[in-house]
Amino acid sequence: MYIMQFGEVLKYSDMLLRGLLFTLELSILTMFFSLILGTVIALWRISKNKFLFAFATAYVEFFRNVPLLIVIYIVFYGTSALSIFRFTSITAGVIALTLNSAAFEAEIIRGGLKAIAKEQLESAQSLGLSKFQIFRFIAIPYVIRIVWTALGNQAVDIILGSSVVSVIAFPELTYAGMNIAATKDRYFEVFVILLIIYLTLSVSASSILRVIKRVFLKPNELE
Amino acid sequence: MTWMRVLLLLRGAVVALEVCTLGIILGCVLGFCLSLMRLSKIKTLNMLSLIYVELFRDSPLLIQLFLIFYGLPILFKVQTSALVVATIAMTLNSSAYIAEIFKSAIGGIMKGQWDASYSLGLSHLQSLRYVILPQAFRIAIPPLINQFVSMLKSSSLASIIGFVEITKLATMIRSRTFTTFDVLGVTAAIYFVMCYGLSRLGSYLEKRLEIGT
Amino acid sequence: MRSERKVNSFYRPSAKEIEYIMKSEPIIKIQGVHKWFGDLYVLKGIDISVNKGEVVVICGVSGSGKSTLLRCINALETFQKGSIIVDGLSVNANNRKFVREVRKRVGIVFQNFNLFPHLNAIDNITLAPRQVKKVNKREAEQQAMKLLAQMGLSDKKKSYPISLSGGQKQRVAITRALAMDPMVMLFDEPTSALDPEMIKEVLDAMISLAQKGMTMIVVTHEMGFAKCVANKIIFLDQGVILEEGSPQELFENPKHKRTKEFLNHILT
Repeated sequence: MYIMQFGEVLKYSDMLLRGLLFTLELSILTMFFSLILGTVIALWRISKNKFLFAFATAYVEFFRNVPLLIVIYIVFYGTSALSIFRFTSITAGVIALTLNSAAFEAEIIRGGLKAIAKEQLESAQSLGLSKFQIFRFIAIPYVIRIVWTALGNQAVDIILGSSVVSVIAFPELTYAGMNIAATKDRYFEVFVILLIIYLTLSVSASSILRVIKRVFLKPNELE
Repeated sequence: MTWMRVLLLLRGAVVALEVCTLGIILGCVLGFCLSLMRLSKIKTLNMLSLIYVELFRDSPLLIQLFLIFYGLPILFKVQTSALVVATIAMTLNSSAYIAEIFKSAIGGIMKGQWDASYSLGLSHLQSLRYVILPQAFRIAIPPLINQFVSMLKSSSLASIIGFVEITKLATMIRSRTFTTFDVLGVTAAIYFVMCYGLSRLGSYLEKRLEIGT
Repeated sequence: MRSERKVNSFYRPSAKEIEYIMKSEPIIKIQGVHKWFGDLYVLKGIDISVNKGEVVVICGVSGSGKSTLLRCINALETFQKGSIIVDGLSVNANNRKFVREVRKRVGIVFQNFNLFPHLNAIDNITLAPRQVKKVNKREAEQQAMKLLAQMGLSDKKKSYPISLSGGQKQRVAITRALAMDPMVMLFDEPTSALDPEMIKEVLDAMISLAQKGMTMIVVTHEMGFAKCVANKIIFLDQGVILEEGSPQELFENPKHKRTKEFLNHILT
């Protein structure tokens, strides 16, 4: 009879906590950078410039069709094989996850940008607003409302995707868990605890984002 | 990169396709039942399916894989291969997403269809069977194809629990020879062709079947 | 399930008189119906009697409750107070078996047609007879072809709704309802979603149906139709019956100010 020993595992809660902090750092850094990169790619995707459009399309299609794990391997192992420098697992992890997420976010943002009806832009232009003003006061608020939910889902995907980075020994939560499990040979209990932690993280993240949407982004006819 | 190795990787890709095909078929069966539960007015069924769906959608697939891998021997006293674990994990995970796909497909059918079928005297079950579900299944095809593509990509994680498919073969080749970029490049290319190809097939089907009218 | 009449034992009615008595019992009796949608009070005490073969037109501004009333008759909507009796059956949305019986006797045609897009015309029409009345495929299709021929749509039997014009779709919808051999046909603004060129073909189909003796309750603004075949026009306003009468009475001597306003608005 295999008796589950959660207590043994919980003695290592400080390691888990450290891993959790790394997960949070990784997630937040990724969310930040991928949002910027994603916006740039989205703008290139609707640009009239053929090269920017082609590059952005290739970028998006690449990361939509190649698994995250392969991307991580390429960034971590591939670059060191190609060139002189080696990424640390931390750098590689952030880069890989950011590149991957940016592709999906680019599509989401592009959808939001396309949704701005031409009429709105035309009426704003005829009112005499400059391009920048239009962008700031009309386009951005409108787009944010539309894409908030989708980007929120992407944020959760980033948190869940952070677990994959454990394969290159990025010291986040899953990696910490795997170490504890190997030490005590208590794999099942460790992963049950990890599951609960990840569930808590995702549900909290999406709940917070939903509350922000309801409170700060005033509901309008887009709902 | 010798042709032998490329062929090996291709065989690994076929393995991944097989597991995903099995996974999505079983996942559709399970997911369909779950979607009916999600739409049911019986609170217990609704709650149970909601918990299931949230469980599998809000936790990393990697953790789910590990749990099944280590949990199966413990809970059911069976020693199984990574193949079985991978298939089970793909099935359970996809069923949660497929449940949502079917739920929104069925829910998206306009109320007028229900009105018309009820008015003609059809029972709830008859309405579902002859009017609603045929329409819902057609609507569900594009998202299901997306789901399949997504499963193909996440099947790469099964390599971590030792399942021998294309990614695992790639890491094995990589560690034995030193052709990192070649191996990973070919692997990425194979995934790209598979996933992109399937997405295009999906768009073609969508146009052909005139879904969205 | 027809209600039985108590007859004085000294008096024996002749066969003709019995037939007359049976016929004059209203086929639909709506009594004191009130309906709320949460806080919204939609139907505020409706009393309507419809006899066999009568054509009743219900009109009024949007929001007056016309569609809701119609949908209460075949239990697509529930009502909180009052009663609706169809062919002796009490419409009670909570009693599923009764509801199905009522729906077998009542056909309804919707503003948005609600044809089943994945089935062609003949399958749309034969689905209910085959599944509800358990008619076999050949018989059901024969009956459907007969009805389609009367509509002039025989050549469209294998067509899918997507390739039909609005007028054709609505006529198929009417045929679909007729295939169940209903005693009453309800029409919920059947021409409101149609382009003007197609309104006539649908109204013509409805007129010929009325002339064949079908009992019909029609919610519409098409007063030409009403003048042609309606026995009774009911003007519904804010959930109450404001006026009721024959087309001549209503058009020539409307009693209420609002009826006058409404008619002026419609007829211009």
